[in-house]
Amino acid sequence: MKEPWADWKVPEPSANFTDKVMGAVAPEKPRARSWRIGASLASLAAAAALVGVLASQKSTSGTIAADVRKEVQLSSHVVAVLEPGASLSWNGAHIDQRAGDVFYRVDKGTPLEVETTLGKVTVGGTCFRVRLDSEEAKKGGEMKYASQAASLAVGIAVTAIVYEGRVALASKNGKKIDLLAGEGARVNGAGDIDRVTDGNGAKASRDPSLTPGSPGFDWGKAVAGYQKELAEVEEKQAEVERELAEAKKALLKAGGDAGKGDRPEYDLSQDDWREMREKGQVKFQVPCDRKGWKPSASDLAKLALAPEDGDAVAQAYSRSKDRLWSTIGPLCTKAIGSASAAEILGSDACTHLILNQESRQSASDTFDLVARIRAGEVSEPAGQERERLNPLAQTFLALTGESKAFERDLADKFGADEAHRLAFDKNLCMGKSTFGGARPEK
Amino acid sequence: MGNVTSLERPMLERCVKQDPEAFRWFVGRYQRAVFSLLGRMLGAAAPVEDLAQEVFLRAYRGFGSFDPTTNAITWLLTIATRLALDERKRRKLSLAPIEDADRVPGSDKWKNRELGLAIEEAANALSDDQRAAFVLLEFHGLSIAEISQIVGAPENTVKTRIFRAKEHMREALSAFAPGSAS
Repeated sequence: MKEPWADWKVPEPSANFTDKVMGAVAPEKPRARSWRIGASLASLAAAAALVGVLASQKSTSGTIAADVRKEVQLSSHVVAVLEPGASLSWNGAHIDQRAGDVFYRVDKGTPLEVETTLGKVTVGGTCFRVRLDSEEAKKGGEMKYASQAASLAVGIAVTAIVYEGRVALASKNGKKIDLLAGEGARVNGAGDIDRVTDGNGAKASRDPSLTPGSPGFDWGKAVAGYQKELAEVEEKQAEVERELAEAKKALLKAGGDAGKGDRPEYDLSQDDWREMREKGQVKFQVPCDRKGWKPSASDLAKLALAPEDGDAVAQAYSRSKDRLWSTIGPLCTKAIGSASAAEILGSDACTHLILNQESRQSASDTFDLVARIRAGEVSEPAGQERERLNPLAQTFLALTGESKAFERDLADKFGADEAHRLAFDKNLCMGKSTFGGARPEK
Repeated sequence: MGNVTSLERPMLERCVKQDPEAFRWFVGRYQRAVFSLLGRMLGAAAPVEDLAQEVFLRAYRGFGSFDPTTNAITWLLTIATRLALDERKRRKLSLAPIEDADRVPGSDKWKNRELGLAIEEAANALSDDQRAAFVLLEFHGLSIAEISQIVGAPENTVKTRIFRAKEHMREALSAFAPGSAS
């Protein structure tokens, strides 16, 4: 029995809800700052890779999560460079870093506190300067970074690496350590702090020839170091891209159908139909014969639908049955001479009965015609032209077109994208069939 | 609830890596379920869309710790339920104002409106915990074990809350039950 609360209505998402969420997750990049590194500063590209100058924005408070490397100006004096997967919120001089790797640059004299789940980093800001004495310098290029840098990685441990200046790292249980340039430390889940060493910044700061401002600083060596680092980054990137390409190939292979990606097997494109025609096959999915059925709350939850969506799904099933039967029913009745017998047989059995009435050659020709129509090589006949086709062709045109018709019905309620998703969701009951071609191996 | 499907898993794995395209898919796929839960937990007067947005932001931030082989909808409903319970504690939610145009006694619209208000009134009399358990069971098809995990209460407690909630709802809405004289 229907409970009275079954009619409890709730608001529907607005049409642009997804866009709103995506906008909040990854705020649109504002105009690039004037100090974006240009092509003329190619030799400093490694530095740019470290600094990650992509875009900037300024606000006294906010929240950001990065899906690509992102630079955010948290205040006039603080810039954070978030690596993909990092997220943080900030309010004035307090930053709550929730995840990922973030590189901070803080102007001299600016207090800043970065809090994580395991520890807190406090910085006062120092300054270092980058001067270009190579080809770019002759062209007048000069870049200045007034900054303090600390890098945090949040997870099972917090690691702080100091590139310049001094920071204080404190764990949640009150332990504290001061770190100078070139030093690093890690806080583990128990709140213990251990000193660590880091390659890049730490080493660079320890070596006077690579430390800007130190007496033995060697610009040529520093730039060469940056270039080497860039080459390594590029190599790593190429390696990741190769791995990604291999993974995609493997995914396609696992799907058993190159070019389909993660498309469901019965979500057929015109290319699929061309391929099936070569094999002499026809395949399709149609909604199960479920007239009068209505999905339960559990069914709807599995489909990620709201309870009030049940009627629309049930109606789509009902319409699908009527639509198919309006073609198959009369053909089946004609084949066996009895409407009531056809009714008892139903669509599935009638389809086989109609198929068995055709010769092997006629069936093969029919499958070829249907595949050509679905591949877009021949226009789909309608009206009297369609009625002149043999019963098998009429039946298979109805069956192979039903999935899309069902999807259109769902789209009236859910929109095209959601309807497509639902039509191929494994939690909806669909009858899937393949006819013709080689018999499957047992 | 069913396990993650073979088609969902690669997308969820991409969500874990905070792939924006995959996350867009995730939002599209589950937004109706989130609206459904928040709408029923907080009532018609609540800023459901803003809160749903917050649910997805929390999911985005939390994907790093999500296991893509587990059920995403249960995980997401956990986030939504906790946010809804916090929101209920944070402020007293009122019912939506009634528009005069809908108040034509006897019309279908009027009857629907009256029923909607009666359901909300009845649900407002439930404790927050009862309401959460009731909504998750009745409208999202979650098992007692899953609800127990989400609300952080023993299964028997959840069963009792659901029993009491249903008892109250049936009694409060008896005038609207099929076969009643209303």
